[in-house]
Amino acid sequence: MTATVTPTRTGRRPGRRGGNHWWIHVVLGVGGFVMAFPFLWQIIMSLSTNAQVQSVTPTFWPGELQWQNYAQVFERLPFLSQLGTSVMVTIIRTLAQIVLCTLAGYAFARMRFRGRAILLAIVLSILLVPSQVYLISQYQIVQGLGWLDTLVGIVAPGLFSAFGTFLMRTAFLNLPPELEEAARMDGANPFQTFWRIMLPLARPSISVLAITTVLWSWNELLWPLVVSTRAEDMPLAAGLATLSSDRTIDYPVLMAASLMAMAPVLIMFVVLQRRVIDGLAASGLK
Amino acid sequence: MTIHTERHPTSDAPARTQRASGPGAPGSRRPTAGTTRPSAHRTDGFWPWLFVLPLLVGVGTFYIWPIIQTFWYSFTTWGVFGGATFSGIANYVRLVSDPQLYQSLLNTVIYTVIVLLGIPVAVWLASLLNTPGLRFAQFYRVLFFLPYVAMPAAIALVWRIMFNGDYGIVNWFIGLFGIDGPYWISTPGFALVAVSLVGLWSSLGFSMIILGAGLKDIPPELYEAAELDGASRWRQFRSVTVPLLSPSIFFVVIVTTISSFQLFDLLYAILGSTNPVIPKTMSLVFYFYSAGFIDNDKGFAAAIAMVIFVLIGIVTLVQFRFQRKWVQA
Repeated sequence: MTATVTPTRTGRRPGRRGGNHWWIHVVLGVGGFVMAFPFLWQIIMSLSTNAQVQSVTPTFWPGELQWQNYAQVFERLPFLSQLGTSVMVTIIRTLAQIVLCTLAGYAFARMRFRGRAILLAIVLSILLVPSQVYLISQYQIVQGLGWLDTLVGIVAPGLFSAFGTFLMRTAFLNLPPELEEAARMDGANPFQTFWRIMLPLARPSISVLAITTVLWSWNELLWPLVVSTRAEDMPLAAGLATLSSDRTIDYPVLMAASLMAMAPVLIMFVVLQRRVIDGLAASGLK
Repeated sequence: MTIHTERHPTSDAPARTQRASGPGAPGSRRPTAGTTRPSAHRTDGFWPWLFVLPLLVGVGTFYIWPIIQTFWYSFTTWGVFGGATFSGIANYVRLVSDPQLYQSLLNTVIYTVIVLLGIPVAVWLASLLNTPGLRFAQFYRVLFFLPYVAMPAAIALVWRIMFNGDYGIVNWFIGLFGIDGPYWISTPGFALVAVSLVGLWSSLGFSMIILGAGLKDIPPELYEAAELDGASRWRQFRSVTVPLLSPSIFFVVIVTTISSFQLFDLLYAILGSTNPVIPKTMSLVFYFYSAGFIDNDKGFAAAIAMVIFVLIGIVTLVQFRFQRKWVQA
C-alpha cells in the first residue's frame, strides 16, 4: 500500500529486504534454465527418433513420442544387470560404512586405548592422498584375491572410509558426555552405551554419511572401470562410459539409458533436497 | 577428499581432551575435562579394539598398504607377465622426459583455470540467491545443484551430443548469433574447452551452496549501515559481501582446484576412450589410467600417481600460504 505513495527511489529500496526485484528472478531463472537444460534436452532426445536427434535444426518437440526407446534400452544393453550391480554396490557400501565408521568414529572420539592418536592420524592421512595413489595396488590385491569381474571386487575398498570415520568421530565428539556416564552407572557395557545412547543421537551425521556414500558410490567411475571388463558385470556408470565410443547404439536409446541411470539419485536429491544440499555442503566432498 | 584434514586439524594428543575440532563445535557446554575422570593413563580394555579393528583392518589392507606399495612400485619396472623388478628412478627419468606428462599437466591446468572462472559467477549468483525473503529460493537452489549430483558418466553422454559439430544444440545456439561453431569433440583445443565448460557447469551449484553458507554469516547490520550510507547494491557487493566472504571463497577455490586436478570421469565419458583427440586432451589422471590399465605399465603409472600426489600437495601448500596474505577473516 505504502509503496504506491512513496517516491520511486524508496519504493525500489524495500525490494532488497523483500527480495523480489524482478531482475534477480530473471538472472536466477535464466541461470537455472541453463543448469537444467541438459536434463530437459536429454528427456526430449530420449523420446525422439534417431533422425530427429541428428537433424541440423534441433527438434524441440518430437511430435510422436518414441517410448519404445526405453524398451530398447533393456533389449540392446545389459541395463538390468548393470542396474542390479549399482544397487547392490551402493547398498552394501552404505551399510558397511555406516556400521564400520560409526563404531570406529565412536572409539576414536570417546574411548581410551593405547595408540589412539597415532592410529587416528594414520587413518586421516589417507584423506590427503589422491585415489590414484592407491588404485594400482588395490587392483593388484583384488586381482590376487581372484575378485576381478565380481561384485566383491567392485565393493571391497569402498567398504572402508577414512572420511566417514572422520565425520562420525566429529559427530560423537560434539555429543555431551554426561549421558554416557549415566549409562555406565547403570551398568551398561561400552557397546550397550554406544548402541542405545550414542548412536541414536548421532543420527543426523549418519544421514550425511549415508547420503554422501550413496552419491559417491552410485556415480563412481574409475574403480569399477578398472576391475570389471565385461559389460554385464559393470555398474551403470562404467557401463555407460564405455558405451560412449560405441556407434551401434542409437542416440535416443543412449539418452533413455543415461536418464534412467541417473534417475534414482536425482529422485533422492529432489525428495531430500535440503538434507542432501546441507549434507554435501557440510562434508565438502563429492 | 583432502579437504577435511586441512579444515579440521586433528591434533588429539591429550587422550581425554574434550575439545572438538572444526568450526561449529559447541564446546561451551562441556564440563572441564579431567575433573570427573580417572587418570588419563587408564584404558577401556579390549572394547575399543572391537570397535576400531574392523575398520583398521580394511583401511590397512585397501589404503595404507597400497599407498606404501605404490610408492615402491614407482621404483620398479613391470614385465609383460607381471612381476616387478627394482629399477631405481628409471620411471621418473622416463616421466620427466615424456612430453605427454607436460601435455596432460597443461590440459589439467587449463581445465582447472576454466572451472575456477566459474567461482566469481558463483559468488554473484549465491549473493542473489541469498537475498533475504527471495521467493522460489529453494527451487533455484535445486536447479543449480542438480548437475552436481548427476552421474558424470551419464550426463556426459548428453553433453557429447549437445557439443556435436553438425547437429549439436550448442552450435545451433551460437549460430543464432552468426557464429559458426567448431567440431568441439573432435578438435583438440575445443575438446578440452568443451569438457571444461561441462566441469564448470557441474561444479557451479556446489560452490554456490558453500558460498551461500558463508553469506548467511555476514551480519545484516552491515548491509543496513551501507544502505544508510547510500551505497549501491554493486558497492555493497564489492565492499561488504566479497571481503567478508573471502574465507568461503578461498575454501571453494581449494576444493575446486583439488577436485579439478582429479579430472577423469567427464573427460573419459564425453570424449570416449578411443577418440583421436585423447593424446592432446588427456588429463593427468587419464594419463595415469592409460599408462596403468591400458598400457599395463604399472610401475610407470605409479610414478605418475606420485607426481599427482606431490602436485596436489603443492597446490594445497601454496594456497594456504597465500591465504594469510589476502583473506580478511
